[in-house]
Amino acid sequence: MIPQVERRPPDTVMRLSRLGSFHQSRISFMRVLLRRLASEKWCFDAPKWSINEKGFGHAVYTVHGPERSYSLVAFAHDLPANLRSDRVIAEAWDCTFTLHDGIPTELDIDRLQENVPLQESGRVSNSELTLSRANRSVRLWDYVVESLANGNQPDIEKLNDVGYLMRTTAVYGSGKFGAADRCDISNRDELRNPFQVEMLTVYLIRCFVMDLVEHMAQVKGGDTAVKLDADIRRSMGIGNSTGLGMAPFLVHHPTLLNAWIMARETALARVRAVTNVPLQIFNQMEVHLKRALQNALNWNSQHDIQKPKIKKLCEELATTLVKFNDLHSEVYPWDALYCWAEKNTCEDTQEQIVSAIFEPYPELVDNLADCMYIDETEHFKIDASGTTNQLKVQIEENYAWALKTDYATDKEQARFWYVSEAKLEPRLGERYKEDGADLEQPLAIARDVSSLYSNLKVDQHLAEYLLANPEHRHIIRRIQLSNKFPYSEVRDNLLNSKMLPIDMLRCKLSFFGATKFDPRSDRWVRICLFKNAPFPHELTDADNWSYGTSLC
Amino acid sequence: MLTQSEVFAFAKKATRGAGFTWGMAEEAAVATLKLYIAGYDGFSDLALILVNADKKNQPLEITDTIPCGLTLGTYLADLGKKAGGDKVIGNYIFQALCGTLHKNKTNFPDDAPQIIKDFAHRTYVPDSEESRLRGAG
Repeated sequence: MIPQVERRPPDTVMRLSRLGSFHQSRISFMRVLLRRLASEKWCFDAPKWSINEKGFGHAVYTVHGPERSYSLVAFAHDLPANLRSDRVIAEAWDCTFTLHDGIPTELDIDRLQENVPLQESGRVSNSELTLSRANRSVRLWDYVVESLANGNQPDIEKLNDVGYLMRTTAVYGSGKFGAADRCDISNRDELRNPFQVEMLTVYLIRCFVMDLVEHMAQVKGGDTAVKLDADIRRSMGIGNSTGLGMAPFLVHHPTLLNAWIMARETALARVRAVTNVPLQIFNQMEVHLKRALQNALNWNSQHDIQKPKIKKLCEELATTLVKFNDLHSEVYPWDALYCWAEKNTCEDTQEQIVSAIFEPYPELVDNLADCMYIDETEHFKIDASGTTNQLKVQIEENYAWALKTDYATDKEQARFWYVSEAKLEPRLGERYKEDGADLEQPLAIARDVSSLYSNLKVDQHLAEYLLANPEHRHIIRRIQLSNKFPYSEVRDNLLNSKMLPIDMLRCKLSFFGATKFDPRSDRWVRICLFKNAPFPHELTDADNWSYGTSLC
Repeated sequence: MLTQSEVFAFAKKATRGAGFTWGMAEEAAVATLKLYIAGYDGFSDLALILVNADKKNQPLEITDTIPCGLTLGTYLADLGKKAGGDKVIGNYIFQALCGTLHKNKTNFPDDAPQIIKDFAHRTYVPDSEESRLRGAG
């Protein structure tokens, strides 16, 4: 039994402001993927390259694991500048991609050529695992091609301002647009952890993008052209633009959310219980905190909420490094550090420290990534054998936070979630200004729990209550889940006028491993994936690349 | 061929579109998916249930001469009871909820029938230009 302190209570962890302050960590899905690729010594074929001198055509990147092979099929297009848009409503992109299950035949490529460039309007098959697209960062792309073509390396500072040459605007998986369902692949060891096919897709897209920029420089500069310097290449990630479509995911998957948070909280509880820390580990931790500070210093955002958060994070991480010197005498130094942070720093800094203290402890943390998968269907059935009084007690125990709010006031019900007719995407409406609230999606968890609670007047058999009151059925299912899964619920009112959807996005994206979280409004963000990650030929067992190698 | 997640999503939205509650729509979606996995035409059976329920007040009465298979099936499943020889609307959905299904070869449809799409469509909100500009995604 691994010693651990008590896990943080859900009332502390599951608030939107805290979830919206999470940072990537050892159990983030992209790091889980790269550890596997390295430890199992996956082989990467040289790309099959059919891209012409204008940069159009297709390429195939195949990777072989111990049991199966996977191939990214990439299509590069001629996209007029006026059609380049990150919005989900876009209909054309610089590049489109799919991850094929195995090695595609010529017939497969022809089939994919007909469909993948159309994205949502096309159709892939259950031999495909993802569907994705990306647009260039135009300014940087042209600059890098020009520099390399002229035989020069681009200025790394200039590149770091953005952090990527292309950004994806969607990576669809899990049965979307004909792709294989999650349940078809979740029994494979390498894909059991969440979002592994999506992460593999983005990792291979990164390889393709860097090859494409060098190809274009070669076409332009001929013998004068040079390849990107390895360090500069590694510092480039893949951007991602994510909007409201992702926000309801955490609410739609309560048991999965619990699994992710439980793994993270257990890791924290284990590391806080560590005692007798050798000097070498202190040194490693200090290096990592310095890199985290450097990452924060390089983190650009023009957003009114994000800017002061980053500034404060930088200041407080600098203070943390001073505090670090006092920790050597502590019996439980990481517990002392966390407790100090809880009293003296903001949530963003606290959560950065949480992620940071995982770093020197792969033996305590990494295996928890294997607990981040759950078969949600096993927990679907309502246990209607009890009574409504028992249900009432469960609400009082797990949803006291939801009962405190007066939902009769305009501000507490200012918003409603709906699905748009045009793109079948989740959106957020203003209840008192827009039509459509009668078609509200079941994401009003706090309000619906409160409404159920006030409706439970007389004790009766739950099955009878459900028959007579089916409008409460969806919420009763959730309440029962909350008994077994303490971190299954975001403990805030998702209809409140001040609610920030970007908090939900950041929580999920931090579990992907994203950095450089840059909100463009309260409901969509740009981020960077795989920045500083080793390329296939650079993969080693050392999972220490997440914030690069430069120190402040 | 539709994927499992597409069958589930169509069934859930269509059931909600026909006036059932979200919780009942979830039950219907699980049952419809179960039917396709067991080799039955889930959407056709679900359509019988949705047409019957359309424009009626919810909850439907299980004391009707021929009750709704979704409503009665969910209730019996909640009680932990197995289906008897009840005559219901949407017998396969009813069996998927609380009875027994003989397993046939799994056979997923190429697309959802128009009637299912029409019911599902009722759950979508037309975009206003304002919401498009503000919404993003």
